[in-house]
Amino acid sequence: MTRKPQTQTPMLAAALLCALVPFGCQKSEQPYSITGGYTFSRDFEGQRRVLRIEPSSERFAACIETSLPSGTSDSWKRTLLAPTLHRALLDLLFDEARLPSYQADLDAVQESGTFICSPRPNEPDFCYLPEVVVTGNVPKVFLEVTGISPPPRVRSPLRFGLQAHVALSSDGRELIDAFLDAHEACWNPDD
Amino acid sequence: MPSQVKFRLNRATGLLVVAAVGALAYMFVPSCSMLADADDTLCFAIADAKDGVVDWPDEEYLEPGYNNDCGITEFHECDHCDLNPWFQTQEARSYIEGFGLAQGHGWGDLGRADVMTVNAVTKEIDTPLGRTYNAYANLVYANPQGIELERSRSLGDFEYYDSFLKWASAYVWQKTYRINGNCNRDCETVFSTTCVIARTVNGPFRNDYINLYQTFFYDLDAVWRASTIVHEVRHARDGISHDACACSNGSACDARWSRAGANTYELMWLAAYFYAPEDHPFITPVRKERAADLFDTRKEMLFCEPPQWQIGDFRHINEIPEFYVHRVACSEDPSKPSNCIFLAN
Repeated sequence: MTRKPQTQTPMLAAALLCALVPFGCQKSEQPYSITGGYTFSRDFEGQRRVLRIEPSSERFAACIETSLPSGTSDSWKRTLLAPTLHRALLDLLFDEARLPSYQADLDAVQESGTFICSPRPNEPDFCYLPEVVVTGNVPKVFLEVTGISPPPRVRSPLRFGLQAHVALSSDGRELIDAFLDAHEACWNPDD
Repeated sequence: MPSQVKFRLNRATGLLVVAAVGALAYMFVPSCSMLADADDTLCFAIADAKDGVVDWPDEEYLEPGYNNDCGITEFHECDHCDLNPWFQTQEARSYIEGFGLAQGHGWGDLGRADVMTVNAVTKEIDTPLGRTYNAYANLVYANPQGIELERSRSLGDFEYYDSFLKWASAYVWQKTYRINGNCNRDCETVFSTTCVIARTVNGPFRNDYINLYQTFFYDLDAVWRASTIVHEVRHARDGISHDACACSNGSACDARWSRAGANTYELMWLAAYFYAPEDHPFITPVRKERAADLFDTRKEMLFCEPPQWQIGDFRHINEIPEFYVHRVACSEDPSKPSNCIFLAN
């Protein structure tokens, strides 16, 4: 009777082994994804700036600034933007009178934007297009799908070229400036 | 050594052997069976199309006051059931029942009979399980063979899987072990739109699983949900994780296209869906447009190193899927100039 606990030890060890081994080796993939709001991203002169805002200025904006290609230690900052800054950016984004300019800017970067590439050892070249991209439920601009006749037009994010040979409207430039102001306010809130 | 001690040692050894064999057998538990079908979630947007232009429900978020219980609300009643194959036949329903969902992990809390919750007037369905079925419907019925496709064939058999849509259906089936429902809403802050859509847990044993969160059910439309399934399955059995770098998509970034990660697979499926045959009975032009819209937007957001191609470069994906699946032949090995598109990056 007194030896019974000892005889159960191996059974317990075996049961624990069986139960724990599968879990000890597991890993979890639980990334946060963007499902809404508006995201502005600028790749320019080896640097990326991203600003994410929600429709309401009462919700946090998030921003990041990183060199290209982006490293592993980058972290996002979160802050509440001044309502006037937030409003100014969204007003420009959703000003219907500007939509033809935004469409022209998309067409221009689509036609003549060129990737800038630099070789990396043992890796594919790193390439990026100097441009500003705005994603989310943004005003509707369209691009043609090549390779199909007649080419269908599908919705596209807003895109603005930042290369000298790519046309950029004054409306587009104004939107970019407002984005960069908001990004600066988010990235350096104490300035 | 006394015989009693010997006996105990043998028993202990035996138990350990049994445990080891059990663990080994666990690794080879056969994959679950398969997916399902169903229809879309775009009814409101489609019904409200102005001049033929659909205002996609990108901002279909849960409003303050939502019960957070995955219950049914008028606000989200948007998955119409008309022509939903899974809804109309027991065979099709059985098909999806075999796809991990059959084990019911997590769905019990949502109400297993949830799938039957249908508005008798509008024939719309708005339940987590129903919305998950809708996603699988887009995967399964995107190829005309639907549930007749032999999904157990080798994934390298591109003579049989002669379109990416066929291959993807088999891929998702073969690589899925378990799909759970989870009613939690896991976002960075309250009402933020930076949220966890799904969580995949994997490891060396065949016990991987995917948890689908509230955002999956109610913030995404059915086409997006379907491509998300492909995305998560790439994490699950293949074990490919995201990369630590800065893109526009929160923390779900891949360094580049040629990593062939979850984002690459998600976009390939969207492109294939867009390039489904014109006379496809299930994939309407409106759905194709939605796939293209998602493709263009997600392409800009998901990669830290921006891809250099357009959706037009995928026009052969349903003719030569092997070149897209084994993208190395196309994108990274210039000594093998194949008759396929150039997928830089």
